[in-house]
Amino acid sequence: MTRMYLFVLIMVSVICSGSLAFAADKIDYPAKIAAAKTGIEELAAKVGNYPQALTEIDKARASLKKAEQGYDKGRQWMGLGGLKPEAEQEIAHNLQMVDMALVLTGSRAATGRAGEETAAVDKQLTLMKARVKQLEERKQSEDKLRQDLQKCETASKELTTIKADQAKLSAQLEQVAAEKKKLETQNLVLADEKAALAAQIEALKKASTAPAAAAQTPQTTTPPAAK
Amino acid sequence: MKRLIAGLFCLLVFTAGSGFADELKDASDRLQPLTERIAKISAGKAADYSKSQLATAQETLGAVKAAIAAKNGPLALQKAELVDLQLTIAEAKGAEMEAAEQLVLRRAELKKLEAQFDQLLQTGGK
Repeated sequence: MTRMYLFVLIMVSVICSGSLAFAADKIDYPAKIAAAKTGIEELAAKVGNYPQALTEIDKARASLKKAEQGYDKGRQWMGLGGLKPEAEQEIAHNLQMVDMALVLTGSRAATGRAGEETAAVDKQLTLMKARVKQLEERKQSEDKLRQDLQKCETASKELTTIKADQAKLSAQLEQVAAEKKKLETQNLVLADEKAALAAQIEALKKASTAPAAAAQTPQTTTPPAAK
Repeated sequence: MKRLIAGLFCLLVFTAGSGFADELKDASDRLQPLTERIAKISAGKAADYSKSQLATAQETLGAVKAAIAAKNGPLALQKAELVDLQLTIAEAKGAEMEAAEQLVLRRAELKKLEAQFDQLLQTGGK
């Protein structure tokens, strides 16, 4: 009986040591699954609220669940002898899918972040465009005002010159008017003198015609006397 | 009894065989769309940003074909699933790079406008 127990003990030890040696050669899937789980949760915590990224996180979780289920189903009797080859393949595949889903999550999050930042920059751009336009319009209106001011200054100078000319002309006009008045007065005086002279001439004419008539009358009577 | 056991065994083998055949068919059906998708992405703008992802997807597509040739349905289906995800990553990387490029362009535009604004402010009163 003791031999029988000893034999069973030896057999169990051989199986266990064989199993352990076999397991040592194999990949440590529980550790890999745990690492994948940690990786998912760490990324989920810092990925931000981007729907597409969160969808990929869910897909990663689903793949991880498949890997866990595959591990649970694929374990051979009491965990001895490691995993079935097809289960190992499935677990490795699902873990790879988890890794890739995480890469995709990172990419989706980066796209989301870039999209958000672009939207924010777009807002700033719109604002800045409006400001620049406003400033340009103001500058244009200032330029126009400056040009108008320049025109006004030129016109003002011209006006001053014209006023000076006008003043000069007014003075000349006054002088001419005064001379005209003087000439008119002289003209009147001369007209009076002319009238007086004309009267004298008439008087003289009359005076010269009266003695001649008187002398003509005796001459007509004289010839008979001479006879 | 022996006949019953033999019948059950045959049924089991047939079921397992048909399962593998289904997976092989699924994988074969996926080949064409995946090849077209690779071609489409390679021809698009995303190809500039995701060359390595596309090369990996191309390699994995080769693995799908090899698994189909070896009549390994589950592996073929897994590899097809992998190609699908790799292509999605390639597209996502393309979109990511494009978004980043757009952001850089917009920032440059904003910087230019800010400089123009500053200049206008400085020359405003002159």
